[in-house]
Amino acid sequence: MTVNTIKNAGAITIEISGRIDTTTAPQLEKEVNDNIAGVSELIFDFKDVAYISSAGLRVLLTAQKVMNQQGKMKIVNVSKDIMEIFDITGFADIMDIQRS
Amino acid sequence: METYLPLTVKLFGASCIIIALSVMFYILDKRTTFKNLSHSYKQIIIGVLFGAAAIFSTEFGVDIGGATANCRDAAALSAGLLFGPQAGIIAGLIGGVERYLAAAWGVGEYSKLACSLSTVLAGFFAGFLRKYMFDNKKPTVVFAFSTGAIMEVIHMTVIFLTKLSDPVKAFHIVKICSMPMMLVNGLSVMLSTLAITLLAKRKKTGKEKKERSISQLFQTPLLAVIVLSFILSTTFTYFVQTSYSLNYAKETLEVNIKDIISGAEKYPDKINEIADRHIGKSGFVFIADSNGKIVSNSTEFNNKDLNATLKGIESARPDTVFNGEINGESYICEYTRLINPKVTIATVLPSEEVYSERDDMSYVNTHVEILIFAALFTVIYFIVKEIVVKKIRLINKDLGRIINGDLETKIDVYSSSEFASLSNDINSTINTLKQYIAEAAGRIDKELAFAKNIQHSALPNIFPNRPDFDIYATMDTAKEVGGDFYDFYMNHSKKLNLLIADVSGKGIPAAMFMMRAKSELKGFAELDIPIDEVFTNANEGLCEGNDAGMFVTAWQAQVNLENGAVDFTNAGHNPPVIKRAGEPFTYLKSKAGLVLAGMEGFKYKKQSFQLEPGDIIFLYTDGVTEATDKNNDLFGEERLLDTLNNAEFDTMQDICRIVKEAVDEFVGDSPQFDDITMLAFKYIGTEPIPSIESEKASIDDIPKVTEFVETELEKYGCDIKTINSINIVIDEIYSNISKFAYGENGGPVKVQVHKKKSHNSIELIFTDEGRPYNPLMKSDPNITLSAQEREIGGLGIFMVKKIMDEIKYEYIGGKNILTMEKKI
Repeated sequence: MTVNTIKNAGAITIEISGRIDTTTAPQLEKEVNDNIAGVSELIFDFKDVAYISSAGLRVLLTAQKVMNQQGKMKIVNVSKDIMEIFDITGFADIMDIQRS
Repeated sequence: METYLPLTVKLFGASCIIIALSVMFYILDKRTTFKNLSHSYKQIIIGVLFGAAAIFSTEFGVDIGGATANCRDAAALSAGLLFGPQAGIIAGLIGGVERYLAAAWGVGEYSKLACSLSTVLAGFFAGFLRKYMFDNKKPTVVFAFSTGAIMEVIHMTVIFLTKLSDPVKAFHIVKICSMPMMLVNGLSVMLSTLAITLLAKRKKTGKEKKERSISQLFQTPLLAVIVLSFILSTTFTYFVQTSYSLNYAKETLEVNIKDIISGAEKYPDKINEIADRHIGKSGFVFIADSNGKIVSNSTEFNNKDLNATLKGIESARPDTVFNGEINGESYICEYTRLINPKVTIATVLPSEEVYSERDDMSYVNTHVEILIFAALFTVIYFIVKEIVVKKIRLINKDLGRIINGDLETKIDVYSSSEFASLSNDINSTINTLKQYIAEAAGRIDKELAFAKNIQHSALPNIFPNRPDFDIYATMDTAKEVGGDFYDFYMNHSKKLNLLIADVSGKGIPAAMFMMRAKSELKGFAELDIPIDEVFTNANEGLCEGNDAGMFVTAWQAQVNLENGAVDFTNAGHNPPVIKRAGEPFTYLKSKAGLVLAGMEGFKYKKQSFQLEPGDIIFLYTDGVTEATDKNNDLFGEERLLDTLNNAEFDTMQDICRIVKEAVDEFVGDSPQFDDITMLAFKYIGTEPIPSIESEKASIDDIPKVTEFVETELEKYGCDIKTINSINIVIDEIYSNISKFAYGENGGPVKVQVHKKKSHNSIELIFTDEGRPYNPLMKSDPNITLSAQEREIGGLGIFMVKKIMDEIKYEYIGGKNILTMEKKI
């Protein structure tokens, strides 16, 4: 998994590619934690994500809880397969997710 | 009376013919082909011949003062009473018509109308009695005689009625004919009946005495009472009339004596003139002088001695009536002695004159009484029959229906309080009985259902999901419980045993024997002895105490799953069907041994063949091949092969379903006679499943494991989505094991993946030796909560459950084995 964070005033976009799983999730978690302070808008770009496991979902949920306090969070460019995972886990209902 | 005897004897000539005819027809009807004729034909033939007998009687009758005495009526009566109403009526009509015409050639013109009418009447009378009084059976001899006698009384009455203009002659004829006709006709009918009764009794010797019906029991006392009443009333009337006639004679005699005495006192010389008179119609007076010599005018007795002429006067006292005799004829007499002139005056009246009126009246009375009492008997008989016998028969008829199993029948005889109470009692008894039967049936149904449950649960009905074989079996019992069974299990040397069997018979006994057979076979098979010895030993066990003579056909194989070698033994069972990979289904020809429990000491033979991966064995019972359609055609072995070869199936379950559907379609609405049992087995083989192992589980292994699995999945041509899904599962499960299965020191984990050919799916197996943990027991997270409320974690297993189609967890030999399947 590779992560690339783009900062733009109070908003940041985290572009992810590859697999978000048990081994890579801590890396994503660190990226989010390092950048989330004072951010009013957090965008995850899932354009190149192959899959996401529960470890990855946990990072997203933690981020969502923080952003609920200080702004808003969005997941964009979500593929059909990943969307299925969001659907079955109920994440589609609690997050702002945009299909690719 | 002395005139009756020769007349009677002469008349019996004709009656012999009637008796002979009765005997002849009885024997014809019982012992020859005559009995096969239709009822109407028989009646006509019998009627005509008895009619001929009646004609014979007429022509050879005895003429008595213009009337003909004969036994013509007896012919019609015998035909009707002994053989049937129609025969009686035909004989009566023939005899009657001929009697009417016979007057033309000199047979008694005087009574032709009365006689012909009576004969016709006799035919109807006999027919009526047979049908309504004797229930179409011949009467007893007493009734036969009575019928004949009463018929003649009717006959005499008819003569009277047709000759009312000339009653004196009619009475004369009746007086002469009555007794001989009653005797002859009564005896003729009686003897005919007696002859037949004796014949019938001889045939029935040895059989127990037949029970008599109520109406028969009733007949005899009723007849006795009627006859007694008749005798009493007739005797009483006779004595009253005798005394009346005597009294009248006495008065007549005394009046004349007084008259003569008073005349003699006035004219003593003219006593003879005075005494010359008639007393009554033909009585007269004797005057005798002091010497006892008759001096009266009656020339015949003049100068004779009075004592010698009038016998009885010597011993009689004067002025009293006494019975005297003159010239051998009987007279009623009285005498007195006069002083002046000294004479004896005796007045006499012939007895015949005195009693003529009494005798005439007795005749009439007797006839009328016979008719009245006969009518009384008949009426009482019919009333009893109508009120009691008919109702009892009605009840009996309904009871007969109930006895034959129709418990819905209601007794409905409410003509009297006794019958109403009887009807109600019977109805309520039947209702109670019905209730008990229903309760018992319910209990039996429940127990049968319970037995079926036990039987079905004794058969393996969980089919293992194995990579090396696929198996499925079904059993549909015809009755609640049946005698078919199948079985499969591993013995200790890891050979898979496949068994199909069929116990003779059906129902509970077959089911019980099935349980015995099943445990005998399994008990020996698990000892890892060769299959032929399993059968030989099981046969010994089953032969023991097999008093019911039941037996079992069975086919059992032991499959070595590692190399496909099969040993089997057949105990008289249908040949199994085998499908070799790439070839059609065919019957496996094999030598069949004797049925199990058939004979002690039988040695079974082992046979063998080799299975290659993909081969199928289909086992079945005769319930499949012998299923019958509405035309009684069998499903048959050909149709079974066709069905199997045309079947499109993936799994063994499909095969069983398709065959069952084909059988059901063939049978249609016809009932299922036999259990339908099938077992399908597919050998897949035991290629080792690709696996990757780690001595110490760590999340760092995940990329390596994922790569291994991806490589395997690509071999099967899995798409990227499936691969990604499987990767998520590996990530979740592997990380769980790494984090939680072991403590600080960690432990081994093995991941296996392969494609299941039989199910066209990917199977993923995780094995670890950590603490027992069943991930399926973990409850699903609530995914409807808001982001704030939702807990972090718990999602992993939930996602795995969603991704995979089937997950099974086992803890065997200290290992957690998690087997997951995903269809592709």
